[in-house]
Amino acid sequence: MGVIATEGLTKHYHATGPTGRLGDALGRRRMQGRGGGTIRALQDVTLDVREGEVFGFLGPNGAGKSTLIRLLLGFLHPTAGGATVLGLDIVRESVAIRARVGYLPGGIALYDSLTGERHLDYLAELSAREPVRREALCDRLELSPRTLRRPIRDYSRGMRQKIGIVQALQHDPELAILDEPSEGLDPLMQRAFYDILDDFRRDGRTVFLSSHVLAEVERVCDRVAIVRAGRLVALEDVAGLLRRRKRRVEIELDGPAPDLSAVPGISELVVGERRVACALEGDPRPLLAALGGAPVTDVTIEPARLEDAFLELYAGEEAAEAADDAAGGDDASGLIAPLAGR
Amino acid sequence: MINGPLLRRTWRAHGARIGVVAIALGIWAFLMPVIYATFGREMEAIIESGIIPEAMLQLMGGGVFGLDASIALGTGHPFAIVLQVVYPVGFAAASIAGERHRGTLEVLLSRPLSRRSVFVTLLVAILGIAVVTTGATVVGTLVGAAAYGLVGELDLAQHAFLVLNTILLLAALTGVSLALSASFDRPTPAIGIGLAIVLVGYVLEILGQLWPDAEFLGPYSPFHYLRPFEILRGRGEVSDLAVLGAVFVVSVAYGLWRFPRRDLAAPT
Repeated sequence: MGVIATEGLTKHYHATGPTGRLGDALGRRRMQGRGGGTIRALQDVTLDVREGEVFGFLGPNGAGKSTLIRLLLGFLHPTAGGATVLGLDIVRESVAIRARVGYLPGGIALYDSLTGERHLDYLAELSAREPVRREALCDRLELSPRTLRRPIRDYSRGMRQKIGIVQALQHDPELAILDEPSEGLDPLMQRAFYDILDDFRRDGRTVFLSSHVLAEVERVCDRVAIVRAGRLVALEDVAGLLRRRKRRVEIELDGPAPDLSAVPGISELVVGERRVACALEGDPRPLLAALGGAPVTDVTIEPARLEDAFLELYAGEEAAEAADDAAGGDDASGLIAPLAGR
Repeated sequence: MINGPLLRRTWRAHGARIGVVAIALGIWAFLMPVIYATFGREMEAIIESGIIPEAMLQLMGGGVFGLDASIALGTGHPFAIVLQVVYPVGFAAASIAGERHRGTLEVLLSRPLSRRSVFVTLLVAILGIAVVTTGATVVGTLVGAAAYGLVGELDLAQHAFLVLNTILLLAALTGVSLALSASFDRPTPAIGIGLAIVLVGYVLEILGQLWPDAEFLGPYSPFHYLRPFEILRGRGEVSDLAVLGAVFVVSVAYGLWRFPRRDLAAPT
């Protein structure tokens, strides 16, 4: 069984959002007046996060990333399906899960009146576990004792994020759930954070990381799941995702172009007088073999980037989304930036 | 069920403010024996002159201005009530909904801490504050009475009843306000409803006492179940304690049932 295992996990709620009963009643009435409906925040998500891996959960704002995390931590209750974290049921054993997990919320809010040090002490006390990693984390993130003695209200956004990272990992949890962890960090601190993740993984810990920064996911994650409008549209290892994506290829020639139309993985072939352009999917070796003996002066194969794979996947899912909309019911797609057209 | 670090942090974060409220209530309570000792005879003369309407006299304890009347007037005075309900209503209503609104609730709940534990810990913290502020009034009354040699006139058993009744009223208000706080995502509606209960309740009780035709409104007010004059004259009723206790139990039971079942979406 994986460290995180979800089975058909689904979360729907009313357009007013999942508020309290009194709040619900007031909000529902308001939204009914405005034609509000059901939001499908997460739809039938099944995934499995393995022990010791860094797992990326990708999607734009509003796609359902935070909803999944909040379900895993027991902040939300599933509409259907279920999940386990570290073998514990997310509904019945939520407290036991949180004893073994470190969590960094997206855009973390802290107690402004406390100093950084007091804040970390307080959260460590609440965790009832020794903050064995705190010193190393503070060193890595350049949080000096002097900085930690200042009240949090004086901290910049980046410093608050550093405190957020330290509080999530200081007690050496078995699983870290990090929602947009590098938000607000400068490039140097981002690199320090990635090193922290590498160490964490080396120590056999598991990381579940939600992000919309694709370069970050490509840099640190072993596997990724991509969510769109609350639905899982891809789940595979980063290398596989990159291998699958179409890359632009341009070939300059000093003579006639060879026939590339039968080469596996080649599409969108355009043959000019001394130039060939095409799209390549998968292994480049058949293409390179087909070019053997041709008067090639230059070959450019665009590097495979997760960002492009992500955008391709999103473009491919547009039709499915349109069909779903036609079938009735609102989903979270209305909240998503039109990534495919970016 | 009670979380030590959360309890300590709640008290520590409000220590200075609790101190200010307790001192203000202590001084206020100290003044009641002083007022009786200084103006008691003048007050009795005014009462005997008949210029105070009968309904007002009933509000002031029924026509005899003794030490008990002075203390009872002080207990039911709007100034004392405002100070007493700052934490049981204001802080209780703002506590969970405020943390939720600021986003700190999810940092708290990301620890191995059940929502019921958060609710119970805050309840205990606020009840502890209510005991401290009520205790300050007892100390103030005793010091004031001692300063003017009036301790012998105090019926300590009835004062103990008054303290218990006051704490139960504050507990009932705390239970309702905390249940409201656990039901909303923003503190404003919870505080608004909590304050409305206090203000409307106070007006209903005063109306019920001053105007015979509106007497039926009194039982709808929480303040109807704290009657300092009757208590200090040995006519306190256990049924008042039972009503306040029932409100406390029902509101806490609702909060403990509702809060863990709520969805806590990402703060907006």
